[in-house]
Amino acid sequence: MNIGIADGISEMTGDSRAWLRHEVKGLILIGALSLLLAISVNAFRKDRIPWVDHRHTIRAGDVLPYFPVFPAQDPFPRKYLGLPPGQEVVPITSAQADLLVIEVLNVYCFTCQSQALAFNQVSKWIDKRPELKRRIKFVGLAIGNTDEEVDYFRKEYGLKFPVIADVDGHVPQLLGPDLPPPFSVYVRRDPSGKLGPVMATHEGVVEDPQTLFDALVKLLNAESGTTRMSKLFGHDK
Amino acid sequence: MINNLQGVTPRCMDNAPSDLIPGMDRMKGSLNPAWMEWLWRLLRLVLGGIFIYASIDKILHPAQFAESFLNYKILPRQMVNFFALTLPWVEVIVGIFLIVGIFEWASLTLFNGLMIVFMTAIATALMRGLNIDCGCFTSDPDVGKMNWFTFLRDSTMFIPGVGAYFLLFRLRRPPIFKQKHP
Repeated sequence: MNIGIADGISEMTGDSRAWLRHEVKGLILIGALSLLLAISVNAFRKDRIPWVDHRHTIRAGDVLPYFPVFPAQDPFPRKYLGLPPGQEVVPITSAQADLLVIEVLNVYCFTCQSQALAFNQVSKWIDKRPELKRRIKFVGLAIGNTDEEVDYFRKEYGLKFPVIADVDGHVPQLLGPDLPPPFSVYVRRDPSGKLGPVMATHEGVVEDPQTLFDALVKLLNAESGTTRMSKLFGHDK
Repeated sequence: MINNLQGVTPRCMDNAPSDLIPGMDRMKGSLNPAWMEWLWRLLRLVLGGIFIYASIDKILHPAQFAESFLNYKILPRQMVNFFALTLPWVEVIVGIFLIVGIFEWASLTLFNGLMIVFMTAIATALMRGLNIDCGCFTSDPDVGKMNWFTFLRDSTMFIPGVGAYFLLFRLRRPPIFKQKHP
């Protein structure tokens, strides 16, 4: 059979060249139209890009990205955070709080253990104050740990706040791939009532519960905006 | 006699002016019967419809789609936004072009090319043990995690895409594939 692609561009007939040119034009047109529509429609969006932050680590002033949590079998995280029932996966921003403190930790990291104990003490104090109890919530996100490790960690240290194992690796993807635990993110409710604006972040451990408690109350009472936690913790005079 | 020629295309007739050989138009018509044209139209409608349907949720919820895209860990973070922004629109345009029937070869090639990309992404994610949602038709995390069934589902869409090439080849053979005559 003498059928096949012409033996080279130079041997192409005029018809072949015209056909090829026509189809290449089609490809270019599809690309150009897609790009044009994407840019035009994006200009009218409320939630414009970037949806995925390019920066390596989340910082004050950012909005907490869409962040799924999987409090699967354990009902405690749902109850504590006031997450809607019936859904397997819920965004962490569904938590019923005015100030959400996220501690990124690893159960085997000593400083994370110290930080968790300090947060636990603060959590106990807050639970005794009805005016704060419903407004400030804590959640630990354990990177690189399994559900079993997290369960053991919570029981071992008697933690009163939920710790969720980041089995799927969402934390490094969304908060920062090079995020060093312990790392705390302080998320406030915005004026529209949506939990999302990151008011402050803090890298490292603050072991004094009183310092932490005072800082949280100041954050809760502060106007919207960003705050340097190091200043609140007395590291930065 | 003419019916016996079906499946054996007389190449010498492809470029011949129709008025030189009496009845040639009828003969060509019998080689590419009407059902083929209708089957091609139906395939275009189905394939184009799939792409348009798949793009709707991605266009409506770009942030969730970007997150789904990021979960595959294929592209660097810097490129995720760009692809999350443009990919759904490529699907829309390819879908429209397929349904309308313009730039048939180009749009079918893009359809199949994208299907290969999607299937490769799903297969490599599953092989790497990533427990993520597909983001294929919806980015709603409640829909559930992808598995090999997701790959199988995409394969069932890819097969008619490849089959469409044979049909299009029979119906509108590109001059580049035609026999050269001395």
